[in-house]
Amino acid sequence: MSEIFTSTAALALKDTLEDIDTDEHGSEGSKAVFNKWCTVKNMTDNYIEYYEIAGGGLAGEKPEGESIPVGTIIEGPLTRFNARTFGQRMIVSEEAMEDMKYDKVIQAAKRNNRSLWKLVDFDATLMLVRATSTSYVGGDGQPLASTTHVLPGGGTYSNMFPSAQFSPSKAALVIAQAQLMQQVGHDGLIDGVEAKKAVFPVQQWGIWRELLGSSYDPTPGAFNAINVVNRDMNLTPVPVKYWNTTTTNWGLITDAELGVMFFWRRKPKSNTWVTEDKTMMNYGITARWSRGWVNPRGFFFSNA
Amino acid sequence: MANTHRYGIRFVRSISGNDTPQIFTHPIASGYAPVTVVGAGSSVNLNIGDPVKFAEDGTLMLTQTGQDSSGANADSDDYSFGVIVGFPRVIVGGYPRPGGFYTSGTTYSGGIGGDNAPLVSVIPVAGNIFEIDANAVIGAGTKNAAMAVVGQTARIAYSVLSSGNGQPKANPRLNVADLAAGGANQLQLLVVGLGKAGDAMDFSSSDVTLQVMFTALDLAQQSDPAIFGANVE
Repeated sequence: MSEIFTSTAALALKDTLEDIDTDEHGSEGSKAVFNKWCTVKNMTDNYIEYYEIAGGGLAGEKPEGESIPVGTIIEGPLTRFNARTFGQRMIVSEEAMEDMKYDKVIQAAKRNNRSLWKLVDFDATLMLVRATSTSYVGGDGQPLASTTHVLPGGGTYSNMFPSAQFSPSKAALVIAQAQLMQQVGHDGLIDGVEAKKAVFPVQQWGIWRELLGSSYDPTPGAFNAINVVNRDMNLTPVPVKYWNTTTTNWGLITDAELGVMFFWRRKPKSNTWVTEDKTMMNYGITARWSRGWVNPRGFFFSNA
Repeated sequence: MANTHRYGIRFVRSISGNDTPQIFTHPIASGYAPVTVVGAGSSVNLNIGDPVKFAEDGTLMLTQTGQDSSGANADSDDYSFGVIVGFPRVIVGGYPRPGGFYTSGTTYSGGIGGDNAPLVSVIPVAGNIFEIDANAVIGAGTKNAAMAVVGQTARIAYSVLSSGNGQPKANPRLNVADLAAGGANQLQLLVVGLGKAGDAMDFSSSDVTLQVMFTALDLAQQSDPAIFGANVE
């Protein structure tokens, strides 16, 4: 269970088996999903920080002879990303290494690789799972999705539906798009952002395929209307198979800078060593990363 | 999402920081038929990840709950000596070879010193930290609630599995209903942290993994019977 001995997989000690039924391993990183919806970057220090600064709002009219109105800047929160270390090791007896007849039985390094890359995706997906949890907040003290994100100069803004939450539909996306078109900037002025990707649990794959793939309105009774979601929004669907705590929530990734991000401090690194007195092989893998968001405008959420 | 239950008590790390734990290998008595609870419970096979104690006759046997003894070693569960990590020798088809589990009631000739005696390798619970799955939702079912039981003690609870290789399997898990601060001797699991899956676990479901140490050990050489002692039958 915790160490791999000859008895752990005793039926593989002789060449009598046709094949080993186990998980596929290899190219684990290329199967990852997180990099399809997170902006992936590198970090070079133990922690990195982002500082929000807002401008002075609208300019004003200057009556003849009067001074030009004065603007200023206002600081917002500091958001800090601390590198965290993750890893796993497997301990295999020398006897098991010598006697197992099939490469696919132990393959400790490959199994470690799979475990860690899966954790990368699970960890990144926690941002979606906890999108409205006030236990996990960003620099402004609000969760990723909130109707009361804080503006540095005072006031709030929202990156989710204001009250009623919607299942994915043309109507829902029209409402979301309108809200995004009027998303405010750091200074509270209407700025507008553009939705780029739709992230959703895999149970919604069918409805998103219809919504994004049909050039005419997929709504029954409205088939003659054009499908503005298809023709105007140009969304890339990203089904997140690790988002398994809901079948109804969904979100949009927008073009706002510094939205949901994933930072590699160090990509997975494997090493091996021997505990000599016990002749036990150790196969280890570790990686360091951080994830989170600075600018909630990079995300829009439906808590349906 | 439900947590994927991983069977048994799994070695995580040692208190001393050793790479790998020490291993003790001892025989199993001829005809031994493990039962989860003294005088009751279910007959099971021995599987990797099960806790065992010394039977005080040179052999190892499953740690049983419900012992209900009194006196200096007042405990209602067996103290554990170790956790099974392998079976270097079991009898399969009448002949010895390594195996993944011990079949209940296996008889053999030649005694425990002979070449047919089934052998079980264990990691001693003394000085080591293990993972074990909780048998129910912990408290309010949040990460905070799971972290709040660190420092508390609990018993081992068996919920026998009648399917899967090696079945019937004792399936030891941490009994959430017992979790208490301080606690009696029979609460032999001391929670020292969350399992390695960490935040990726669903804290609103059962089978959240906890790291535990054993507070009551089957180690007769220690002098304080309230903490370390031989099992009293």
